[in-house]
Amino acid sequence: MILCMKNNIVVTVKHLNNTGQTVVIVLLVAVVAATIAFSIAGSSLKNIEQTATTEETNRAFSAAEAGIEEALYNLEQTGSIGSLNNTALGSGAVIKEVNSQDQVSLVLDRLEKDDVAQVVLNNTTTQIKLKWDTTTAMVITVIDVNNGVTRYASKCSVYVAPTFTLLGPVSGMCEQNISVTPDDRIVRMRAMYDSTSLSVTANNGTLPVQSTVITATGQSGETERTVQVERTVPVAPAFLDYVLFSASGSLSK
Amino acid sequence: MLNGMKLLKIGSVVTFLLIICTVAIYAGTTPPSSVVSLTGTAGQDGWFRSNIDVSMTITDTQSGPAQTTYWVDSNPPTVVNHDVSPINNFNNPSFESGSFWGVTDWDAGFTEWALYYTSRISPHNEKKSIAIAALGSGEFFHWTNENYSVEFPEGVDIRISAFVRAVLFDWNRAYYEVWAQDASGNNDTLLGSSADFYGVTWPWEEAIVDVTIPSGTNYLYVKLGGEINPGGIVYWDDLSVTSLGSGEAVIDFNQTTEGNHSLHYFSVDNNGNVESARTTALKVDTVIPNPWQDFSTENTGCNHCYTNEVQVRDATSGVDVSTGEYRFYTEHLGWYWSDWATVDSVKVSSNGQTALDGETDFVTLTTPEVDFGDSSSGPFRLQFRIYDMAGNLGTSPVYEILAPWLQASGGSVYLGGEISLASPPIGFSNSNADTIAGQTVESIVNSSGWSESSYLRGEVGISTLNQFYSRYGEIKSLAVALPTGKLPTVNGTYINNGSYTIDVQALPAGFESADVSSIVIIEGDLTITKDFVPGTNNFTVFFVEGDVFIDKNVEKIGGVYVIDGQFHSDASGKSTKKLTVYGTLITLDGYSFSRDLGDNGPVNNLTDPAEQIVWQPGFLFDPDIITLLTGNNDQYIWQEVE
Repeated sequence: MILCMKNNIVVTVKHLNNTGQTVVIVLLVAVVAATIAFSIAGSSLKNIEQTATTEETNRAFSAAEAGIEEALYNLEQTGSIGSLNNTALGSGAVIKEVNSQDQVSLVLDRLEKDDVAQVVLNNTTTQIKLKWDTTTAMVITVIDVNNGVTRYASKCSVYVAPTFTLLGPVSGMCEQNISVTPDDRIVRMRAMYDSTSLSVTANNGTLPVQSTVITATGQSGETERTVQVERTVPVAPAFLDYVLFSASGSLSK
Repeated sequence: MLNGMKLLKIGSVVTFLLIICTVAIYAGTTPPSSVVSLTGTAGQDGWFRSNIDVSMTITDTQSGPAQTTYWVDSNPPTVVNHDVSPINNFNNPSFESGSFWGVTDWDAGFTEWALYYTSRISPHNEKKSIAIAALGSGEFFHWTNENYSVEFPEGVDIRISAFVRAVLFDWNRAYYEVWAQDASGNNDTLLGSSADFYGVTWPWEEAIVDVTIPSGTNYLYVKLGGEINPGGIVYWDDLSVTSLGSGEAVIDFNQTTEGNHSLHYFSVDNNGNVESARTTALKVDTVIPNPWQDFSTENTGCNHCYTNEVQVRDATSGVDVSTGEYRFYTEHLGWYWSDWATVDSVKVSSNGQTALDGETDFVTLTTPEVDFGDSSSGPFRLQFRIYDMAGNLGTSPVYEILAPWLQASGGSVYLGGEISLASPPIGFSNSNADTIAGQTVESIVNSSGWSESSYLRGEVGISTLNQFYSRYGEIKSLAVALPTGKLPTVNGTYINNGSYTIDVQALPAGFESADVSSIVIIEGDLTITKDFVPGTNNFTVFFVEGDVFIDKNVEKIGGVYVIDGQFHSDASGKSTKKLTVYGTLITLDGYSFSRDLGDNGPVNNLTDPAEQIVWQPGFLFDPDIITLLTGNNDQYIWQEVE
């Protein structure tokens, strides 16, 4: 290609005098060379800069994760996350900030069909409100400390669950208020016919803590990254809600 | 001439006498007669369905009854003496005293052309009778004791009896008169006359006159004779007087003892005549046929067609076979109770032979096939009734036709297939929570009302435990061998390689009361031959890769069972014991619930489900079993936020 370019130049130069031609050629070569040189140098500098940034962000993310882990450990050991702000790490990164927030409601973007969600009660409210999508029927089981059971089977669509209790939708959602007693301990909700969003809140008082959201920010250099984790107590598998369950069998007697 | 006529008449009388001499008649004593009458609510064949009022009337018109002896079955006899005051009789009443032509204390009343004599020809009593052979023109020839009248108590009703025999022309009559006079023999008054006996009266016949003894003229005498024209013979004998009151005695008593009894009795009169012993049945049955037992029913093809039978007995009078009836109840088309209809058969329960009226052993009443309309119109009910021979109507309880039934209580129910459960008795239910079927819910009594058919769950085609519970493989990988082959009393996940039997050896001491949360994996079938009921702190979850078999004698087990195969509630025979499972039964291939409590005993299909599964929500609270099942203590949702 150079040769080709040279030939083109030669062809062009035939119409110029020798001195001027030489200067022009030198200038052109210099420009080309400089361009190439600057290009190569710029690329190298950029790579160096990018490597440094990745290291910073990784260190920042790790610092954020470390902040979460430390907070969870402290939470489990002491019941609080402790003071972790501006904790320097050996890598040079810093746990810039860690905080936690208790969730006193249950908000699920999606509860899968036939799956179960659970809300814990502890005599802090006398009535809870459930909201879910109108295409879903809901089996709601309230269990008290003495293993007493109160059950509801509700829906807002006439097209599902013919025998379930029909509720009137509120603002496009199926809504049900359920009174609870001081002895009630958990509410389990099983979605039927369709997956759904679900929220459970207290109509009065407040629900006990359903989960804890911990947010940690790590910093390395000028880079900051933030990680959030929601910690919930484990929920018994859905099959424990049944007294009889057979995936494909029949029941006759 | 006159003497000639007398001789002719006498000759005629002698001729009659000769004729009479050829006749011989025999006579004896008359014992009292005891007659029993029974009053009560009478049934058939002499049975009473009430206590029996027994009234025994003893009559003896001659000397009067003196004593009656009676007894029931082999009980000691009861002797009743009758308070009978003897009534004077006339003197020489049988005419035994005297000569041929004369009778002591008796006189001839009208003597012209007549012979008054005593006859020894076939007297009615003892050896003699008196006779009158006369030729007359209708005069009343008679013997009389007017001069020997006898005092009787004033105001007393008496019966005077005499026996007569006569050979007369048809227009002649024999009879006697009863007269009264005062103590001085005056103021004679005719009190009464006997019936007339015309023509030939042969053999002896009794002639009776009932009178009331007048006041002041209480001395009586009689004129025994007959009106004769132109000739005839009249005999009289065996004159007696009895008080009408004293001639009859009554004994009343009450028979209250259930059963078929025999009353034996006889009486003796004042003359010492003894009545032959008699027997009368006293049959008391106040109890309705009972008990009703062993009700059973058999499905006869369609799912709402049954033949039904029940046993009953009437141990006293026995059943009246033809009265066996039944009726049935169904809500199909609003039929409700049917009319009573005759049963198909009544057979002796012990041998199957057709029962006869009065059968006192248990009999089996069997209905023809009863069509209850449709299977969803239950509960089906039946009732029987039958009379006993005394007329007592026994009506059975209302039976519900119950196959053995199942009850799942407390928790949700889901079956990928269909649900078809026999109806429980009134007041019970098969389930009390949401009950969902992937196919149809054919029949169930669900007290919650939440029974859904054709529900398709999110997951389909589950055929392994891994597919059912995605963490099963991970759980199994962490399992360790059962400690010494026994069920664990320490938290953890355990495994038994191959099939396993929960028997006495498999249950360590304190297992039921242990505070333990464990998963037990059985790589084969699980057989349970021993009852065990985990306490409130025992949370054991079994994962069984084969089937679960429950021995027929096992009545109570606990735990959550996740079974790859089937659950068999009665693996080793036709169990008649109730099985209660405290926990959850999850199977991939379904269930075999085959126990049958029958219809007898304190626990039967009318009182209890054959299988009862009681949900244990405590598993939802126990953090240890939840950890073992879910694999962690808490759940975390990580995300990076800006």
